[in-house]
Formats: sequence, C-alpha cells, structure tokens
Amino acid sequence: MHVDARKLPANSIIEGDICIIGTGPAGLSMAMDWMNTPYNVMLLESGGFEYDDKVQDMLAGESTGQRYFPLRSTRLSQFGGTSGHWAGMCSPFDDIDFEKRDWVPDSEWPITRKELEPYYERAHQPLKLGPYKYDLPYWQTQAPNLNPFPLDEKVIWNKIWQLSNVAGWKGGFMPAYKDSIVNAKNIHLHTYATVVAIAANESVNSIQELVIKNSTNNTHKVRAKHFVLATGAIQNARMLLAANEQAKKGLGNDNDLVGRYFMEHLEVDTAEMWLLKPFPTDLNTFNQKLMFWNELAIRKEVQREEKILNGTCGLAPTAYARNKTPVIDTWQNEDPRKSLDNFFNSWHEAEEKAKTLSQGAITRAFTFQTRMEQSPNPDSRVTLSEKKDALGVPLANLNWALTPLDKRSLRRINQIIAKEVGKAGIARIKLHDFLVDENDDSFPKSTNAGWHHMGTTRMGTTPKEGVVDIHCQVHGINNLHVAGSGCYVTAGAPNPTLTLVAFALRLSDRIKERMKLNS
Amino acid sequence: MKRRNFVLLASAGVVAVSIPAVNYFFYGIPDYDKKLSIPQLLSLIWDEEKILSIGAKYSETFAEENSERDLARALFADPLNQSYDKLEEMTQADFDEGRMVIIDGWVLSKTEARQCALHHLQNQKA
Repeated sequence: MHVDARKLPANSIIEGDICIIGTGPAGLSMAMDWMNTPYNVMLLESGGFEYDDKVQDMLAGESTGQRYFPLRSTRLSQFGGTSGHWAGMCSPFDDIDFEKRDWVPDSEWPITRKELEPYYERAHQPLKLGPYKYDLPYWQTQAPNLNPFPLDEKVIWNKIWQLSNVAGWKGGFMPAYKDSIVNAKNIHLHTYATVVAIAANESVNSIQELVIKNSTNNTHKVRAKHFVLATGAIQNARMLLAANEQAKKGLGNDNDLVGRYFMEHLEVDTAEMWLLKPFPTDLNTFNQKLMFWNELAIRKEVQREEKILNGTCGLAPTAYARNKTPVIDTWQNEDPRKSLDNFFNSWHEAEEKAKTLSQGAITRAFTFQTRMEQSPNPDSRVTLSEKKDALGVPLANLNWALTPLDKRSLRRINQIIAKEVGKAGIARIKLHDFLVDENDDSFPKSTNAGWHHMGTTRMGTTPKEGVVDIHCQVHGINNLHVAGSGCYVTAGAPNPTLTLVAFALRLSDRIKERMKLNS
Repeated sequence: MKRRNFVLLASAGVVAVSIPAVNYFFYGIPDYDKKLSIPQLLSLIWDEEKILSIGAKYSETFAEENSERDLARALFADPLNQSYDKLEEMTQADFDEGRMVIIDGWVLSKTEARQCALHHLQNQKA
C-alpha cells in the first residue's frame, strides 16, 4: 500500500516490524524480499513518484578536494532512487577485492567473496539480469564472433558485465516495481517521508523511533523492531552524523569512522590503443541483444606482483572519445535533469564529429576508459555542513581525496596492457599526457568518477575497524543496519550496484533470522 | 664491354664498396640498408611526419644515442642479418622482455623507437 505522508494527520505514529529508509536498488530489493511475509514493512521515501525540486534540494552539499560533481545532481530523491539515472552495468567483485593486500592500506574485508556468492545470484532477480554467468566462454556460446584479442591470459582477462533491464535508460526501478510495491499488502510505502531524526534508547544501543517530516512541517514517528538505512553512502553517513543529540559524535561514530573512507570509481580516459591491422570481433562494444559488455582486466597475480589496485579498461572508438567532453564537465548543473541533457548533447556532438574521422588508421584506434577502485583513504570523507536543508538537517560536505597509489595504479594498468598488446603484435598504445610523468601523483580536473558512492559506513569486525559489523549492523546498536555500498571496505573495479544488492539481500536474510528467533 | 664503360662501372663499384667501408672504418657506422630505418609496424598507424617527430623526441630524450653510428650499431649489429624480419624479431623480443620506452606518451619497443630516431637523423642529413 502507499501513503503520501503529506496527507497524514500531524503527529501520526507509524508502526511495523521493519523500517527500510530509501527506495533505491538496495531498499527496494530488500522490500521486495519481504513481500508476502507475515511482517509489516515500513518503506520510507523522501520524494514521490515524480522528480521534485524541493525534495532534491535536500541532497545538495559542497565539495572540497578532488573536483567532483554537484552532490545535488549525482543522486535522485524519488521512488526508485538513483536507479533513475543508473547506466545499469552489473558485474561481481573479484576474489582479490576481498583479500588482504598489504600494499593497499585498510583494505582487508572481514568476509570473503565466497560468502557473498549465493546473494549475487539472487541479486540478478530484482536487477532483471540474464543468467548468473560472467565468464567469456559462456557468452561465446550465445553469440558468434566474440573474439578476444590474443593477449597473454596469464596477464589479461576479459571481465564481463551484464546490463540491467531496470537501468535508468529503461526508467529505473520505478516503472518496474512501483505497482508491485504499492499493491503489496504487507509493504507500507510512505512517500514524502524524510527522516530528520533518529531516536535511540537511553543507553544508545537500540533505536526506538525515527522522526519523519515533509514540506507540510508536520512531524510523524516511525517505530519498528529493525531499521535499515538504505539511502546511499552519502545520505546514510549524513543521517548517522546528524543524529548527534544522544551520541555527541553521531550514531555509530564513537571511533570517528562514520563518513570516512568515501570511495568512488575512477572512470578516466587514459590511453589510445591503435590496432596495427583490423581485428574483426563483436567484443569490446555494447551488445544490445545480449545486454552484455566486456573490459580488459588485469589478473590478480599481476596486481600482487605490481602492487597495484584493481581496474579494467573499456574501449571506445578514439574518433568519438577525442571529441567527447569529459563527463565531469558536462555534469556540473545542480539540476540532474539539465546535467543529463548536457551529458547526452555532448555524446551526440561527439558522435557527429567522429563521423568526420572515418578514414585511415584512426578507424582502428580505441580509447581506454579505465575503471578503477580508489584506495581506501580516511581523509576522503563526508562531513556535516553548517548549512541546513529546509527540514533543518545539516547538509553533507564531501572531501574526495585520491592518493599516489591511485595514480600509480592507473598508470601501471595502462602500461601493462601496452606491453601485452605489443607482445601480441596487435597494437601500440599512447598514454594520455597526465599519465606520462612517473613522478606526477596529481589528477587533472577532468578526472571522471562514476557517481558510485561507497565506503562511508565501512564494514569491520570491531567498532575500531568499521561502522558496521559483518552483517551490516551498526556496531553497538542492535537494531540499526546499513544496506548499500557504504558498507564496502574496498570499492572493487566493477560498478557497485550488483554487489550492493547482494549485500542488501544478505542483510535481509539476517534480519529475517533474527525476527524468527525473537518470535 | 667497352673499356670506358668498364672503367666507369668498376669505379662506381669501388665507390659503392668504399663508402660503407669508409663509414665503418672512419666513423664506425655499420653498413645497412637505409630503408630499414622506417619501422614497418608503426608505419601502419603513422605517417612519415609522425615517425620523424617521434625520432626527434627519442634523440632528445636519449642524447647518448643521438648519432647514426650508435643507432645503427644498436639496430644492425649483425651485418649478415639485416632485414625487416630481423627488426620485427627484435621488436617482439623488446616487448617480451620489457625493453620499452615512452616517447610522447607512446609505449614503444626500444628497437622501433631507435628506427624512428635513425630515420630522423638520416632525414636531417639529407
């Protein structure tokens, strides 16, 4: 059922078994997992079913450090959340992403990739993906001509992505799930229900209720046995930090970890690969029929030997890429709709200009877009602003900070592939200028990221190591949980959504188990 | 053959033999086919102007190799085995063994970068 919280009488009390805050991929995947169970699910969404400028205002914030997109327009505050402008790229993390890596500070996860495996497969359902297959040989049975470059398989492999059928360009989660959520008897969706306070018990080890508010200025209370923050890594941290009446530093923040270790994926044009001869293949391009994509990835043994981060290189025709404005320049409008228009306009302009470069060797040239994790960095963080939103909650500030390891890894990934294509005799590679000087650790202003917000409520075995425990429960608060990529210890190379939905489903199982035990 | 023609032909032969010999004995430059200074694989993606420009940058970066003698010695060490195939074999070995240089952002084998530099020097002489 659906309730517009603007129409509730003042001081209403909403009660249920579990309260999920946020209707993005994490929150909705969890909510759907509770459909047709005996439990009442309170599902809270700040916005409504349509874009609302005033609600979106609450996502505003300022940035320092490495240049970033306007915080207001990197996310969407409406039913379906940021899936509304999600590209839909899904691929699981690699084993090495969860392993101890001495050369990557603060990188050790308290769980293994294997523990997440069954949830990855389950996550395919809400994300409307194809079969849980991410190996090239499988996809080669589905289509002819998926010929990989003849590169040394001990060094390079082809990492596979699937494209979700609930991506932003298909409308996101909203058209796919609105009706089923609204019609579910045990799901109580409240739109225009913005959480403005989280109240704990006296000893601050259990949450008692949330205070919600909207433009009517009426306040309401939400009570449940379990509360799940699923509003994205920046908002989750903001809410915990802003809940500082009972816990001076904010909830779950006794060890000053909430908001720290903010991570993004670097998505940067890094090099051009000029094929010496044409190489006929249907790989390395978006396969719309199979909803499939691949990138060149570095074997984990090589990452260990080189002491670099995990990253992959996707290919775009150089004639197009040279004419493309960096996304960070096109996406600078605070209004996400205008930024989206600018983004697509730039895309179309680049395509038109590329048509003038349809002859000669450039037709065999491809630009690498390197997609890479950033090293976990405590100085890369979300804090509270002195400015407040219309409902009185401090806005978020972001200091996005990169490290020399990030730069070195970006450079080495491209150099390694340059060596391999040279060995194979198929191409030569030209590094982009900003990667040439080995002593330069800086990143240019045109450095793109993927709008992938991760790591602000990182997972750790103890409260000194993380904000949440291995089950995504906030340390020390027995009924407060975090769903989403904020729990990541490292960012992995691929896009975060598949993994965050897998974690949300794992958390869902955990809460169900606890509900059963308590009943 | 008329005597005059024979003398001319013989003289040309002597010059042809003696120039490489002079080059070798006086300047230490091994005899090589000038065409071999054009890197065949790179010419699939670059025009001559680009090859010359990369060659000039290589010469600037590796000043110790900025002479025809040094470059020709490095590229044509075996006078009996000079061919494009041999140079491609050397290029392949460079990539296999990590002997690469970065010139103007291009990640190149040492051999093909030297070819560019040699071509650049020849072009300057001409």
